[in-house]
Amino acid sequence: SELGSQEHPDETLEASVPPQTDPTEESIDLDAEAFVSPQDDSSHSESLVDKLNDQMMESVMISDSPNSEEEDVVPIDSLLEQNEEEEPKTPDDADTEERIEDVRNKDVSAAEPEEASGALFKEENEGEKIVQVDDKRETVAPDDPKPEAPKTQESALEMDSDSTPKDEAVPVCTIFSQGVQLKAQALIPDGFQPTLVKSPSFTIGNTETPNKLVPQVCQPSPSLSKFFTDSSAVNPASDFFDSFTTSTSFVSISNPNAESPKAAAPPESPLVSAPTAAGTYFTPVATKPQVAPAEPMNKLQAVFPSGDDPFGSALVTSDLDKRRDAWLPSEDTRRVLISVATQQVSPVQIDREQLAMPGLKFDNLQGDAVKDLMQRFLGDQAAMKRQVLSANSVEQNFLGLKRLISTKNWRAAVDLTGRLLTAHGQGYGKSGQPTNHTTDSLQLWFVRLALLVKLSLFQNAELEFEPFGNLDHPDLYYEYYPTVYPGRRGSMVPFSMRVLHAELPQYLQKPQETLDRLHRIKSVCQKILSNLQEGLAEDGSMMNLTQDNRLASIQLWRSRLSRVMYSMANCLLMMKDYMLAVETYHSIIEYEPEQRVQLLSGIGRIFLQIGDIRTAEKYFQDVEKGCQSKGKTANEDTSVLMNRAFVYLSQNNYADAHTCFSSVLELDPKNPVANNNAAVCLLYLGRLKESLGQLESLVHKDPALYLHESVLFNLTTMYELESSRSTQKKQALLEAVACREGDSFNVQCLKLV
Amino acid sequence: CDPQQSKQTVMRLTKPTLFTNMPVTCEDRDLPGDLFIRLMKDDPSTVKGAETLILGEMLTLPQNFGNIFLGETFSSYISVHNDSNQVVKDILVKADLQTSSQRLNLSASNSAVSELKPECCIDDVIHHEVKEIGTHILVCAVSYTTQTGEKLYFRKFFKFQVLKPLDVKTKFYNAEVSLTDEVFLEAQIQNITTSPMFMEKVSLEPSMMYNVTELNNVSAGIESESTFGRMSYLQPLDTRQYLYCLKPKPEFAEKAGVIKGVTVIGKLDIVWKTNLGERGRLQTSQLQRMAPGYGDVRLSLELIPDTVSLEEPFDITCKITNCSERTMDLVLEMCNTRSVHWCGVSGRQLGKLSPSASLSIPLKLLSSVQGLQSISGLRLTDTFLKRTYEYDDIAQVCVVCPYTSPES
Repeated sequence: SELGSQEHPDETLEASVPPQTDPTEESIDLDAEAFVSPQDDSSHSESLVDKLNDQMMESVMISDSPNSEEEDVVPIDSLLEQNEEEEPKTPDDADTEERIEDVRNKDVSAAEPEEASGALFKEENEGEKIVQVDDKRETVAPDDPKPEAPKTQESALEMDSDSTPKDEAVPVCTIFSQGVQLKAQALIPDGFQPTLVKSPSFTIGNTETPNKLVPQVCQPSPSLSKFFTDSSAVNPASDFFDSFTTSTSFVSISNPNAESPKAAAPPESPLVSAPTAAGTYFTPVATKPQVAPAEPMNKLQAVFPSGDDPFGSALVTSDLDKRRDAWLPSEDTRRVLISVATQQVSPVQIDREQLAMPGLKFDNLQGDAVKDLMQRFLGDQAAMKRQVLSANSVEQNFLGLKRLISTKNWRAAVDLTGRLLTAHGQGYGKSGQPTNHTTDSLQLWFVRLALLVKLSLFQNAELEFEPFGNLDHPDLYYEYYPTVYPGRRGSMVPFSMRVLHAELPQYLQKPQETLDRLHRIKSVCQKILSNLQEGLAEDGSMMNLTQDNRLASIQLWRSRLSRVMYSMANCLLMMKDYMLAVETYHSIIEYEPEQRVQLLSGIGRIFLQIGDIRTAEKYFQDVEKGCQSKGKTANEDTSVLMNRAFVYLSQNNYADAHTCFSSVLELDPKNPVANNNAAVCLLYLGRLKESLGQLESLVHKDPALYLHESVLFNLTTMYELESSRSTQKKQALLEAVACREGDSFNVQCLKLV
Repeated sequence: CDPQQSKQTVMRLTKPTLFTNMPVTCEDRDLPGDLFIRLMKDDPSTVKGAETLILGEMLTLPQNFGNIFLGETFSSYISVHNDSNQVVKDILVKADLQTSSQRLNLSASNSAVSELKPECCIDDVIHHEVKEIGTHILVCAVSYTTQTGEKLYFRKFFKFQVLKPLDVKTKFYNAEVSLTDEVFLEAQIQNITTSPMFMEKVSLEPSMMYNVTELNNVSAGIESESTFGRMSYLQPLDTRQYLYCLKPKPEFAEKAGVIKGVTVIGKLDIVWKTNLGERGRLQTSQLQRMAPGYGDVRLSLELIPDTVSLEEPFDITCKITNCSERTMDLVLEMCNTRSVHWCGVSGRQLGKLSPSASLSIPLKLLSSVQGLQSISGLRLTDTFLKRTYEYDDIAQVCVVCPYTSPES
């Protein structure tokens, strides 16, 4: 049977494998090799120098875990070391290398005794394995297969030959190895045969090395997100207490009504005193500023001049607010809100279980990984030069917050949100204590949590999201505060915060939870849209909306629906549920027709990722047709060229892929994707220096575009491949990063540590 | 003086991956205003105009060695770099792959490069389709001469494991009406890697005796649709069943009637692709089938209805073939089972049957039980040797009750 298997594959193999691996040549080479290589060795047998070199050499295997790499390489190297030490003792004749090779082979096989020793002849048997017939005339007697299964193949065959005609029908499982055995045993009743698979062009009899002791290592397929996942530790709890024990004060950030509770409401009215956060659980003493940190207070109060702040003093309910804040509370929440509105119950009497009581769960994230790296690699002096904005160096208000965000100092921005929330009475340790919410406090929470997610600090975000439950507590609705927000209806929780809340679990390996939450949001969006289409207000009430208002609201909610569907599709893609992901992306086209080209191209790339090039091409053709109908020729469109490049890439045609990326650059010389991708193609073409030169010059010319983690990762990978001076070159990149990037820069892409 | 003048690095070239980004958005009237969307638009890795789409277009190089599976192509970048400030001469770079059974030379060229200037490198991209499971060691050797005429030589070893990508199980079914001697092959193919696999081709290459029909498409009009639906990929640990029908070629058909023992059916050829077209190909060993043991006398069916009415007699035609080397004198007995009741006389003489000869006999029977019923209970006794052959579970019929159908 082995002979037969050699006949066909040759022609097919040629297509995929370079000619030198032709099986017949291999075997010839192999023999020649053993005799040729000794000459090489003897001519350079300055063994002392050799040894020295081998020790100095560092085997750089780009491997996912540096530890396993060492485990893999070192033992062999050291084995070899021993062999080569013997070298000088042996006569300098042509046998030397051959002998060493043999010894080494033995050593290698000794490392995997099961694989090398037992395997070889077992395999021979398997080559001639009989795939047993099940002619379904007889059912297997229950006793038969069990003793048989654990036996080796030989005994199985014996049984076969001894059997009477009637027994012939008993399915016999041939077994490759112990590893497969267990599985095979389980499969006996259905009569299936494990079938030997091997490479079509393989010549030697043992393809099926039993790898029973080598478990399938789950090395994840390369994915940057995995690689860059930041698991940086939260500051120890002691830090929190040091800095936050004093500030238990409550300060309303921007709501004038809440800011001066005494003036706004006489103390005997429980209804009005509720929004001051006293509630039933706070004694008035506790809410009063005990040790008012004077300076921050002043700063904070100066922060929100009512005119500048779009969120403050929103007493006049605009149409814009109405459609933006609209939400459908759950039945329980709705009941509570109605009873508050009709003054049947005061918020004071509401069970605290039903309230959202958030508080900071960790203290400031302070720290700048770029600076730390500079200190380590470039010295203190260089590190001193690194100047980034911190929470202290900006205004203690929304403006300062925006400045930190736009300069990519997200860690500092998280710190600032912490300060502002502390001032609002929702600081560290305040979780679980009743509080009152304002438009601003929820916006602050949204920004804080969004930044934590952007920083990949998912656990922290989850911790702080937790008190918000499913964002449906009655005190998260405007109706809960009739005196503070008279007449205002809807949810204080920004829609984007709902999406964020839904998206978060997928980053913590709970994608199903993400889908559940997204579906809940989606159904509310759909209900609101159908209310609007039926002539009702968003929440289903009979309210007259002007036509303009209705259309604007429909537009807003359609865009929200499409945002939710994007999240769903993204989540499905991360779950590798490609079928549903593709369907969902496709259905977004209806809502975002102007994104048709991007979505179809994206779907095509999903198919390329799976390996289904034909279907990918179909989607890419749709993109091209769309471009032609717009009057552009296909070649003028960058996305068409980009798609073509990806198809070439998937056909292993790096040369044409490079040409396509280059023609994108003719149309759009600054296109960072095309530049980067062209450089990547060059590497696969064996042109490391050119590739490196191209990327390097891009980074120097236009750091704003190219100091991106994906580009830097590629660049540092090539540095490692190119020379032993990669660390110096990486340090140069670090300096470039230090001049431009904020504290949120992910230094892992520099691969310095 | 640094003795280490040239340095060699090796990197496995799996396919690059597409960068995925993590969209965090907000609306105009939220606190950050347009800040988040501006950050996303400025990010070079997002898809412009559809920044919320996570799958971008930016290619990133492989970050780890990853897994390599039997049938895939191992590609590697080998770079030898002159780190010294002197020119080195006669550089020879060799890359060999040592498996448990053989050693292969993978270098594109075996000729030495005459000189390598400082800061320059010699690059080679090697490819090898892996054909063995287990430990592989890539041996990279570099020899060169320094300016002082000193000859230096060093080697490096990179070890990796080749894993099995697929689990293939096969099962044969014989056609009931064995006039045609059709054989059905069911192949269960399981993806035992950790990534999805696109099955580009799973075909059966029949041996010379058979013609094959693939039964993995349902034709609907002109276009035929795969039985696996639109998405033809296999998730990790997913199993898929492929079905093939094999018909002996006419020149073998008659022989097949009396063929005994092991026959070679053919082999499965499997081509798959993964990330960005990473390709793999495997073939099974020759699938062998034990022809059903007909014993001395073969009883096959020439005619049998698929559906019959409850308690109504129906006809079948049996073909009895003498597969032995001697003449037989046969008596046919018909034994009723719980559901099958034979009509007519049991124990009738069929007369003499010479070797390879066959005869057809029509039989009548009825079933007293509804549902899928097995036809069993035929006994042939060779009066010469006093040997009885039993034929049970010859075929199945579907027994329906005609009175419950809406027509009646």
